[in-house]
Amino acid sequence: MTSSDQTEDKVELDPSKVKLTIDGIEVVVNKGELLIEAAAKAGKFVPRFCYHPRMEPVGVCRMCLVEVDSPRGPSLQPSCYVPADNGMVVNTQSEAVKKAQNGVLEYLLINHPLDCPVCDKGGECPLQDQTVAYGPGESRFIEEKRHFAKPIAISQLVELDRERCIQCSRCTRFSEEIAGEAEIDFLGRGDRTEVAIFPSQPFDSYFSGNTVQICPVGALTAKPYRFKSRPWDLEQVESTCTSCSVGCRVAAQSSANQVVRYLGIDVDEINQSWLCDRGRFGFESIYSANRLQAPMMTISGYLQDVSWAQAIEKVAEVFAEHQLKGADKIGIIGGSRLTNESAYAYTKLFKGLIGTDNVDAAPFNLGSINSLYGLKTATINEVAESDLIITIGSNLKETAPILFLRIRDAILKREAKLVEVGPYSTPLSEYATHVNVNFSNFSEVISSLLNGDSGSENKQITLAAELLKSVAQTADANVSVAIVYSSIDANRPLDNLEAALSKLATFFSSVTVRYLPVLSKPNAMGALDMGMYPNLLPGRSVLSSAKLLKEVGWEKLPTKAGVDATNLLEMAAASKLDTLVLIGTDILTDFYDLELAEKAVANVKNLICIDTHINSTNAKATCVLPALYDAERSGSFTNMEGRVSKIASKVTGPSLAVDDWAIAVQIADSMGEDMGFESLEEIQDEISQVAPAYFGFSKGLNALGESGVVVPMGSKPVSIERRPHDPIEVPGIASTNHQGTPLYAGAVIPSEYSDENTFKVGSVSMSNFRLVAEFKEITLEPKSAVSGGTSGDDNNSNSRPADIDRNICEMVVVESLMDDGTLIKSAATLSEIKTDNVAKISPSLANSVGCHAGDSIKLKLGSAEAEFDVVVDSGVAENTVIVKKLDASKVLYGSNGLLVEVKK
Amino acid sequence: MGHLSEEIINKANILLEIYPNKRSALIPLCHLAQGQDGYLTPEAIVEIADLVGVTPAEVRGTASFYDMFHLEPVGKHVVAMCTNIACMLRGADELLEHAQESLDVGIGGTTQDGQFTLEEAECLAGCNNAPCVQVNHRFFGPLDNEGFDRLVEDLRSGKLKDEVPEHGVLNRVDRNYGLKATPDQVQAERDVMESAKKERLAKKSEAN
Repeated sequence: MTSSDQTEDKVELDPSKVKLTIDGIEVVVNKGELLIEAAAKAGKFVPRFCYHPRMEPVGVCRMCLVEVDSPRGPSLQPSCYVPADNGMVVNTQSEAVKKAQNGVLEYLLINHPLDCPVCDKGGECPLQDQTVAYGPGESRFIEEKRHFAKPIAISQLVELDRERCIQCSRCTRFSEEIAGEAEIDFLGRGDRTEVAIFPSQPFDSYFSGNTVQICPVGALTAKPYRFKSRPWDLEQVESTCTSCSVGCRVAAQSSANQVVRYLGIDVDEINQSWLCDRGRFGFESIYSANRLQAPMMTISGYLQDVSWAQAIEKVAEVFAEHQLKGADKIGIIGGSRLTNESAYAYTKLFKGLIGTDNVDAAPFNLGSINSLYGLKTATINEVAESDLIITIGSNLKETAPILFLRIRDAILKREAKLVEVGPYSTPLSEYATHVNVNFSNFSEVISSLLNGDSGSENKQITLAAELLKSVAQTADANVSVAIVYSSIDANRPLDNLEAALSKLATFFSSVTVRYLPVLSKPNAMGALDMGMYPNLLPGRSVLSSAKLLKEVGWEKLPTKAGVDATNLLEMAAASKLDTLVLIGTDILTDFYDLELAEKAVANVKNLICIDTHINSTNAKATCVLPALYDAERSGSFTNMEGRVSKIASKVTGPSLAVDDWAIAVQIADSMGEDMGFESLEEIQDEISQVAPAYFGFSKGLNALGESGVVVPMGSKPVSIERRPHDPIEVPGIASTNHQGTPLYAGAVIPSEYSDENTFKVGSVSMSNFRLVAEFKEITLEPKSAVSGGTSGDDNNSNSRPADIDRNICEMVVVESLMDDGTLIKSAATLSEIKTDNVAKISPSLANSVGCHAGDSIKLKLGSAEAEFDVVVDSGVAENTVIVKKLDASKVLYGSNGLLVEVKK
Repeated sequence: MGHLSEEIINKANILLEIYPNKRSALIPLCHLAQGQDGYLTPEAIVEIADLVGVTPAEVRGTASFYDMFHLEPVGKHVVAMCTNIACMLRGADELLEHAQESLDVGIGGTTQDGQFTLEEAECLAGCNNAPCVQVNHRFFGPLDNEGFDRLVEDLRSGKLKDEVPEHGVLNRVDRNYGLKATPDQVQAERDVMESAKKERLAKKSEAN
């Protein structure tokens, strides 16, 4: 190639693009893009092991060698490591390349045991497949292979077979680069290299399952899947994980009508192929012995199996009574387990047909509906692309692990700034300016952050305040701030959160600021969007705007707002409530005030539970209806961003369990009412018509496929450009695809989506899109901001939970990923993982009560007390005790000032 | 109280200061820890990990790459015997066999009295004295079987105490913290080089 050719090329091109030739095909790719990706764009697949599109390249496996022309003639170079440049001439098929591939594979197989017949990976193994496609077919190696004990457990979830390992370093890189906890690393050198943990420290990362997912051989296997299935028996469907409110996209795989494995799908907007272990292995709870198999009723004092007809009859009778008179004497708690369609069906049943507004999906730590709907939401991508991220409240690694990964990635790769406002330091704190806060001084801290002068005794506040100020003062609308918020305490809504958010909005008024709520329950957003909260109606509208609903049969709609979960339980405890309906919520272990929950359960006349597993609450029910769960049901899910994506069914449930929406329809039918729909599609159509933020959602959902669609429709531009498919990225998905169960069944992603007549993505908004007037932007009233640190407690006039005696200290209950909720408790492998029962305290508190790390302490709240092991952590706020929301701490809810005693 | 002595922690803190990245001090810290215990104990690894801000698995993994770090207890004298080409031609393989017999240990093993650990090494850069061995990084050679036995005897009896210090104390870090030259000195040296180069160029152009 002459130099004039090159100059011409450059002139034609956008400076961010380069033009090169791969196997005679000219391609234009982004500057800096790796040859292996450029080759994919030219339709050429280059074999690979170590390369993973979501991790930095290392070029260690040498499988991807290609020939690149240079002034000194063509040379072999690793295509996963060489960036594309103008005028490059690349050959991926030459004799030299083929010889190199042969050699690399023969070399990799030298120590590989070739135990494919008993290996879980056999059938979906990149090493196996690429050996067939690119390998020599025979080995010259006749010596003894190296031997290791196999397999060894490196954690309670992951087993390692070192003989099969080809040292691609995908797992070690993942744990260091992506998860930030390098608990595994290479040990030794040369032919003795092995992956190893440090002997006393198992690989107990929350993200350990991802290493199994990306292992290109059978070296890493996950216990729940070991010997459960052969890849050629697998079927799969694309679905949404329902273990938290992030809503990761997963491939749910089954064999012989049994879910055996979840794999993460690479969706740019959400999980980028990663999953947390709770989401990945939680499916085992489907097959728990505690699973409800049939409807049950308490007959002569015992809970007994009954027929659906009997159960429905009973429930319909109770509901019909309330419909006739006393619609305010029935209350409904729960609903975040449901699909959107089921939530809609229940809302219609309770609000539209029975006529009560006492419905609360109970996302207990939600701030206010106003801030949830009134503030401009950020998508996860927008958070990751922000210049400044402020997290308020929970430890994201425990509550939204994938969001944690995305934020960590944004900080490390894009150098986004992070200010963390929370009760204790988290794994993100090392990259952040961490500001300690507890439940009672929240307003003060926010005020001093924004006012900038905190009396300067707190260095972190001063630092953070400076950072916030410098961003706010840029007054550049291109500068973006993302505020990721939740309550400080898992059990208590933070009453002054809304005020704090509006102060922040005022403070950042000259830059772009967006908000992302971290809801503590999986489909809490969907349940709220479908109206499962006092005063709410489907599609983010309120009782007063019910016109559309009347047309589709919501005849009994109440006009007065109902009461929330806490008030409902109080009514029940005082015998002022006749019927309590619990939908997938176990208030006797989950509600923050156990005493109140117990009283309520004891004093309510009818306790009707619609559930998936037997639990302490529904064991006392009048009537229990078994519902479908997880990969057994279809529908849609709305995550914290407001992104709606599909939940798809893959297996059938226990013989007598029924999908929730169908239970609602049956009850209505038995009451002599007509719900107006008999299938999921009909519900979706109805939602599309009557739920303002969801107008047109079914079409949008189908059109966009894997990334789902953010509601309100048209509010977010959506990119449908996808990276070329990489079969080695998640080998388990690609191979199952090849076997005839395509992942995107029913939701094919069109390469160019431009059907003018249907839902249109991106800049063109939908013609019938309207946002309900009630939830316009929150009016910004920075109340009491002028007075400095004196707001806070004084404004906090609510009665529950009790005020904190700050002379003693404050207990903050935090959520943990591996909690003791139904999901973890009933998942065989996850339930075996021990949760440590610890209380974290600050060094100064440890000093003043005289305890050391490893001691046991007794925490007393009112008459209740519980024991914990102490962890002294300098990251904990002063005079604060951090405990996890586990059984041990539950007895401590809702009493006065906390006392700390050292147990000798 | 930590496992590493206060003295080592103090040295470690000086070392941590002189690197732009804390983790760059990992290898020198491993040397220090090995100086204390003779090998890298799990306790020391955990403390080093804490000091440089990585995980114990990473410290262990990194240390395992280098032959001079030991993850298991070793004898007082670490005998490294070269078997690369020059030594091999001069009978290193036979010598290694003899050593195994006379010490009654395998390669990588430690004698029961805890005196000797025998290792097979790649080229030790002592080819002029092939076959050569290193004992605690001190050179001996050329050695034949008798010579080796004599060396072992001398080490055992303590005759070579002054010449061969106990394993673990050879420690470059001990002798030298960071750059000895100050930035000024470095600059001055560079200036001299620059001016010399200019002179040479001037002479060259004159000659042309």
